[in-house]
Amino acid sequence: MIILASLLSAGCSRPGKTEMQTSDSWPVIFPDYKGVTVPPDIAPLNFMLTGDFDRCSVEISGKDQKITRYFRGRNVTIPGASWSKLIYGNRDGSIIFTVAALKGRIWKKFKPFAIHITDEPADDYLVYRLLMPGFQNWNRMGIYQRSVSGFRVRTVLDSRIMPGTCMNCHSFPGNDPENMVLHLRESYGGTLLYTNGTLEKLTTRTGRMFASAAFPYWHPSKRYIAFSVNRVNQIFHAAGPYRATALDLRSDIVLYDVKEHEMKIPPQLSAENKFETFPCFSPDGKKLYFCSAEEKKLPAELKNTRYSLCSVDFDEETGAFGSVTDTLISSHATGKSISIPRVSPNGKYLMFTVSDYGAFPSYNPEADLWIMDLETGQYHPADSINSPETESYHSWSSNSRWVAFSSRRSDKLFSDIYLAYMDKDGDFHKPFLLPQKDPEFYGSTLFSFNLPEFSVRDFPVDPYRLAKAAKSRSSLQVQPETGTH
Amino acid sequence: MAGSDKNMIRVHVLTGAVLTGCFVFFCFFYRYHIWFEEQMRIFLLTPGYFMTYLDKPAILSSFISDFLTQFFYLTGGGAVVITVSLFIFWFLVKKLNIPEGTGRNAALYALLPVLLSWIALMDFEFPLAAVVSLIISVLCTLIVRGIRNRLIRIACFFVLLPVVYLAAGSTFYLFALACLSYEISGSGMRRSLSLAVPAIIIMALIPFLAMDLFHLTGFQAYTWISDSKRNPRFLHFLPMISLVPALIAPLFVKRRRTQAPAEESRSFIIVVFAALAVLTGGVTIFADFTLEKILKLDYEASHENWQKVCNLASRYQLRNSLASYYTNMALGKLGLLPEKLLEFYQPAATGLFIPVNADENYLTITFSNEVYWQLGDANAAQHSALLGMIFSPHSRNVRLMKRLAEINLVNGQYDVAAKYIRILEKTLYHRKWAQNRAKLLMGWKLLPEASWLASKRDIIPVNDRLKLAGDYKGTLKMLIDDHPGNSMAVDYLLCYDLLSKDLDSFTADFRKYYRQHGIGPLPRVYQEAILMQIAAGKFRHEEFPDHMFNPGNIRRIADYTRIFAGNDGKGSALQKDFGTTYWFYYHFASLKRE
Repeated sequence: MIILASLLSAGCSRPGKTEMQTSDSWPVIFPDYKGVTVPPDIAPLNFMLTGDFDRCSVEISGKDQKITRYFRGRNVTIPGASWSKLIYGNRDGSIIFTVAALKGRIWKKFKPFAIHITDEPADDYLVYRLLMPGFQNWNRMGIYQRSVSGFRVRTVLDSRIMPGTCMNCHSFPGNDPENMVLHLRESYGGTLLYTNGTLEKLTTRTGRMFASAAFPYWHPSKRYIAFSVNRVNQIFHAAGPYRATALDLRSDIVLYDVKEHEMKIPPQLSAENKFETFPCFSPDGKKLYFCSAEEKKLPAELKNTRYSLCSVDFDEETGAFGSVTDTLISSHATGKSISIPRVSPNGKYLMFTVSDYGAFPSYNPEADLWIMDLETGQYHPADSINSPETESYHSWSSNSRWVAFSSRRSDKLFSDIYLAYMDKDGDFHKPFLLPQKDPEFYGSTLFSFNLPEFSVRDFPVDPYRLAKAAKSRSSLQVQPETGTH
Repeated sequence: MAGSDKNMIRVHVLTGAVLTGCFVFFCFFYRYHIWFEEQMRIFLLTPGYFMTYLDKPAILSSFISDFLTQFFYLTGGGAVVITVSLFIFWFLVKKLNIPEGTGRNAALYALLPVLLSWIALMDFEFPLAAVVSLIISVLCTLIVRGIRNRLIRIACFFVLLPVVYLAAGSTFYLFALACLSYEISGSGMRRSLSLAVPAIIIMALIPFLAMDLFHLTGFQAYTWISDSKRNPRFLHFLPMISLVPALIAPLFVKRRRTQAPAEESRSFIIVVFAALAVLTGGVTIFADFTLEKILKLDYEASHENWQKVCNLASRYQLRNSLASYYTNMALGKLGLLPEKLLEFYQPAATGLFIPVNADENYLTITFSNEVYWQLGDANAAQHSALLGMIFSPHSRNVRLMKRLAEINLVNGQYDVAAKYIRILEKTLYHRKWAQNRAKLLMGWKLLPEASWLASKRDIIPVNDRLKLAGDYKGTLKMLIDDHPGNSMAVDYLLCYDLLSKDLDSFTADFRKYYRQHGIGPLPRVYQEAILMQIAAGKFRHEEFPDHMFNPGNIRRIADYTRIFAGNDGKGSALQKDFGTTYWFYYHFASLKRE
């Protein structure tokens, strides 16, 4: 490698020998892929060297294979076919990156670093929303599907064909978009429901509901969808690192019966003096996890508004919830606020976000991901995947081994998607930033990635079909549960 | 000299005059539009940036026009770019040799789309990309027409049809029409029918397929000019439409006999007058000189030439809330707001802040962060600037990116500031600015260029509070609570109360926040308001030493009261002598929709 590097630089730079120096420090690269654990089908981990270099080289070596490449400048882009072969051939093992960089006449060879490859793949796709940070309004927005093993991005829905429409909370049961619910607001507002090849637009506000259903979570039977109903307002910080905060002025949880087109408003999840939000069914469908807080005067008491993690039993046959709700983690005990509970598909773990207050952790720099062992009830911060900045909105892969989450750790403003591996002992490995074809992508994009959801198959609905359904004047008015008003 | 040569010279002189006029217009009469256009974009010299053009049609025309728009930054640069573009457009259209006839008629006729493009370019919403797009389409037409072999020519036409759409957008209709009319006039209608029918079908199909490829609505796909104007208006197509009659007329009308020299001269004079009429009408209808003045105020404000802003405001005397916005800002920075407030048009308190919501346009949203920045509310400035970026035509805006870099430097959010600075380092004309700001990322205290940073940090809020967007008074009180010496914030708060005719709030806020008691009298508007409140019993006279009031003012309020009472409260008797007093404003000003 040294000889090749010398020859190359001699051929392309000023006359004269180059010198190779070996450094005992690791290269400073972005994204920082040193020591990460990746699935065996991940796209090439393209990165760039931090610093001003004329050329660079990388040698990636595995058990029986090696890739060696040279690049002008500091960007390393690994050829896809060679990469796939290399990492697949080294699954359940490690590959070693040896990086060297040329500045002037000196090649600096950095300390090699390893990347670990599991034998357990993540799901094939990630579906996420892309929008510019604005905290109040939006203009360009879209939901996109990205292949985990490559860089192909497909549009699920884009504001170009649905101007003025806020799209959020795309949700698939069991990570399978064969059934999907998508909530839309403002222009063409409503809820799109795709089940068994049929796409329909729902008007979900009915009965005692004070607003339309918003954040969804499917029951594993696909018969029910739990929604939160929220009244949200934005408020802004005058100073400090907090830019904005969303106030959840009022929230309840409702249950939509897909078969009967009825909305149930269970009293134990819509108490007058409480905020209930972020529903999440257990994989066996027998429990609903959610977050609950005592009603407070907002915004005056925002910093005293803290959500507890609760659960309530659910009977799929009757569609009824148990009369008693359990508090699993009390905000009084922790002094913290819990949001976005998500149970792993194998039912063993529950991941949630913890922040100092409030219901929308993506605005709180201190927000971190925590994990609870549902068998033992023990919980702790997922320190190996947290950072000093915001971590929130997590999604489990269908094999419960991978988690995708949003993080603002790069620059505190723009959120990006990270993936992290959880091994069979329940320990998380170092997370990695979703790779991009252009190593400089994250340095120049002005969009934030959020709401990542794993998906096991290609999204089956054309964006124009979604747009047509959303723009349709006729929508199915959901009825209150029979016998209620 | 032969008549035709003489006429040719006349035509070229006329063309030269038109283009010179164009240069002069955009260089001297519309330069601030040009500068603002440059700010609304950002052009990066990177491969990754080029890739972002591939997700919509008109790839080449958009890329070239954005490349050229960066030269709008230079004084006269925009005028040169526009004039040269229009010259190239004229030259290529002339080569089309339409209407069918002698070259001199074609040269004259080619002026019409040029004039219409000039007029359209006066509209902010008409991008330079539209002219570049026309150039590409006409150039491709000439290339195809230049192929002698008919079969190869037709094959090239069909190959280029989708290429021109991808490269230039909806001006590909012009390309198609021009090529078809050439074939029809050369080969006859019957023979060309077998070409025209499939061409029309493909022309209809291409945008239809583009809808799916680029995720556009049907209207966008069939009318696409540029990402900055996704739903163009009829005006934007006029330059292209003006060529259509000349392209299709020869198919139906016999070639005219060559004109005699005298007839040519008469025709030329008619054309000159027609051109003048089109230009005069176009400028009258579409040129926005009021906006030009506002943009000049904005320009000077962005360079912190506050006295110049005041001087311009005095000269313009615009009755426009945006003009008031900048005038008030300049007065505030000079400490003259309460002294000269009512010497300028005031649309109640809406001339102090610009709301940021979906009802505003990208122009006003771009301006909205300025006052917060000057007052010291860095977070509010950031919020406005972020929204301005979102609503910019390309969601990319070099002006706001620079502001966001500065805000984050002030707030100590160096990672975000670094991101914006790194992007700006890849531009042609903002690179140096970015490199200077980059030094501040390392450690700023010893740098002389960091003095602005220190002075901004001296006035930004210290204590965190929560506030709603649009809570202007809350913002001002917060700024004053943390920094009582922020006199601009104090004046803005008190003037906000006065312009809102909320004298009770003025009284309370004056008592709480006003600290600028010096030896001389109070600023004029405060004097006038306080005298009203003393008369109403809300202030006690003893609270104010005599030197705080001009003796003249005390006499004047008595005169005002007497005349007011004596004319049954009618304003006409008071307008002349008291029109710029707060008393007159309080009694007679009412807010009307602009």
